[in-house]
Amino acid sequence: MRVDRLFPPILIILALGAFLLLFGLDNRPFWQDEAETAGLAKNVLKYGVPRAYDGVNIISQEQGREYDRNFLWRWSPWLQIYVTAAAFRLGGLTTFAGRLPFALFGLGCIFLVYRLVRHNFGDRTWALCAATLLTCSVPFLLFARQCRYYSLGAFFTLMSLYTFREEWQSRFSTALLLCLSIGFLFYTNYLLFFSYVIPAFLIGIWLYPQEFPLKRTAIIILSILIIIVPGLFLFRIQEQSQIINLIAIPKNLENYFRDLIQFMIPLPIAAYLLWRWRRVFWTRAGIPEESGEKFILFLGLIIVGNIIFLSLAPQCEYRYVVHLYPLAAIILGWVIVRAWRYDKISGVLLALLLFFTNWLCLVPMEWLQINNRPNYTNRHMLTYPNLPLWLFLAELFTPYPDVNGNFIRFFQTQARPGDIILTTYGDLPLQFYTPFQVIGGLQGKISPSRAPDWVVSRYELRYKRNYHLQDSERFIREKLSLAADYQAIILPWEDEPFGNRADPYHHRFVPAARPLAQAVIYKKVMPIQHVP
Amino acid sequence: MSLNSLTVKKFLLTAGLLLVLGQGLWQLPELQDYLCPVENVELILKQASKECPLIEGDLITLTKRLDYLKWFQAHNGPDQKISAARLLSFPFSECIRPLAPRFFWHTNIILAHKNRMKVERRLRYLDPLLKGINGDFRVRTPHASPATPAETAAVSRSIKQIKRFQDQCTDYNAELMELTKQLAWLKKNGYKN
Repeated sequence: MRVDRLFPPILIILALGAFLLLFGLDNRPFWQDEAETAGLAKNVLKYGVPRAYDGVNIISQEQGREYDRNFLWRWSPWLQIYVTAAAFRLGGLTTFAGRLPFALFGLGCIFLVYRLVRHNFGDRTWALCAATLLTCSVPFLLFARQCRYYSLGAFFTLMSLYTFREEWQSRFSTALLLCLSIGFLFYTNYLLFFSYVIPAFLIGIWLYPQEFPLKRTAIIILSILIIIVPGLFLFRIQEQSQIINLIAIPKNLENYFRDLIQFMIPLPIAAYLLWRWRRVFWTRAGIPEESGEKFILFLGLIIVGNIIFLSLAPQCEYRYVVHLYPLAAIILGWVIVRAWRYDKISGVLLALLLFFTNWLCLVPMEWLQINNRPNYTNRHMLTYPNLPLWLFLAELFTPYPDVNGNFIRFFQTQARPGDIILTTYGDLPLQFYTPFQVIGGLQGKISPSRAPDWVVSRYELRYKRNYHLQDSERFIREKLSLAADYQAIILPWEDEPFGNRADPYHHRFVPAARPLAQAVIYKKVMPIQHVP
Repeated sequence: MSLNSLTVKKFLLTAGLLLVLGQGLWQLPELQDYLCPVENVELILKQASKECPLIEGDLITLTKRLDYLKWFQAHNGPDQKISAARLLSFPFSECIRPLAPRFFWHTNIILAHKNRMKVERRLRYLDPLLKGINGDFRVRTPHASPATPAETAAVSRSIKQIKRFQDQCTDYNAELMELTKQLAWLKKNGYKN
């Protein structure tokens, strides 16, 4: 019996993926954004709906704009919150339980990538290459290991592509799955929905006009609209669209495209594909005949269209393109197979570079001097030529001294019941892991009933969307006298800006050799009581 | 002929990939640390020499933007003709100024705040870096230790550089405070039309 029958390669890849996604999942506590989801999920278990207020703390990162008068969460869609709540119900209020479902969806993405290619194009090598690329993609692994919508978005994006290739025109079950995957994508994050669905639909019609029967297409669109209409009103999309910043669009475009070639599709490969499909841009005759390549073109155009739509949103964040990682893996897998068939040595070199290094992304950008390395990044991050999997494993096996973890431990041991903690950032992890009232952060105006017992003035300054200092920073500067009323406790660990943030510009795998700033906590000095 | 061209293409592809492989390997931090370790002081000085021109550039932009806003406020309205000089410095703003003066004003105030924030962040990063560097020098006087003249010269050169960067930071901080005051005044006495 052949070895690959006993151990099919995809099972080995999935086992590797499961290890990379699940091992040490709770090594580091939730950071601010994850804690927002986890906090809301905790409240779902209590109230049945995501409420921003639990009687002690308020969950907000947008100066209180996220909820209504009844504290009902009306900012971001609820699917991730309910998925986390279900996990908490089954596994308890733990970091591992909160992250587990998303990691499993990440694993589902790896399988779907394989299945999509193998089933539709019958090319096992390509399918395995694509699945391996996604498994070895450290940014994808980091995002999928977060208690946040990222892997959900990637999964539903892939599911919609999978069903799109599966005779949805004639089969009811496939059409239903297509509707549900797109509908769920909306409830995962509507920004992903709009930025993915609109270009995918338009490009699909252009590339596969014969595969869009009018009646069935209209029914599908109508069904999707019915699914998403309640969400359109519930999540105050109209209100949020007012913060579109026209001036930011060119900069956003530049940032997204630069990030795309810096972390996802290397510039030489993007250039090769552009050159290969150059005729497509002015004649339909340029559209590739071969179904595999045509699909690759479809995915490539979806990525470009997606980025163009995303650049309209005011905040330009790398997390909004995470759902495109599986698409990029399919494209890169196809390029590796082509290179291998063209020249074996080049194929092997390319595969090595793409599976295990980020050099093909970064080195050509260095040659052109277009790489983006903010001053706060260091050589052991993904912004520098590295072996990403090595860094990732180093973090897994040598637990990182997480800044949120340190603050949590400090307050769990030092604060007393009823204490009020004011912090300029990292309020949400403290709210989730400790029983205290935690104010400040990005919650907006603060008016504590009494002076806070503890003040954490984080080193990194935080600003609002209008570039003014956050209210918590201003409150500390204007209303408190830290020097007179508080005792500064300088702690022996670094006051890192975020903690376990997955963004490649911010994620540190190994602690900095020389911390920039030490954490400082201010403790209220008890007034001296005069005994008569 | 076509066989030759194919061989050349394959060769070029392989060579290109090998080049990337070679450079990537060369730049690997672990290998760099092993082959040519760089002093922490050197790294910080390099970082400072990269950051200072950026801070300076941002301060110049902020100053220009504030001057632009002051000019606009002084001339009180959108009737002024488009100027080529201003068009070069602020193309978008100069184009929208006659069409939507209120939008122009608010946008530029926000952009000025953004400029200010960028400088503040850069300085907040650079300040502790330069302050922390002092601890890296076990400054050896000629009497205290047998340092070679070359070593002593290098240390004193580095100390001078650090001092220069620290002075620059102080100047930048002062300039930023002044510009912040001007911005606050402009915002308070806002667009009046």
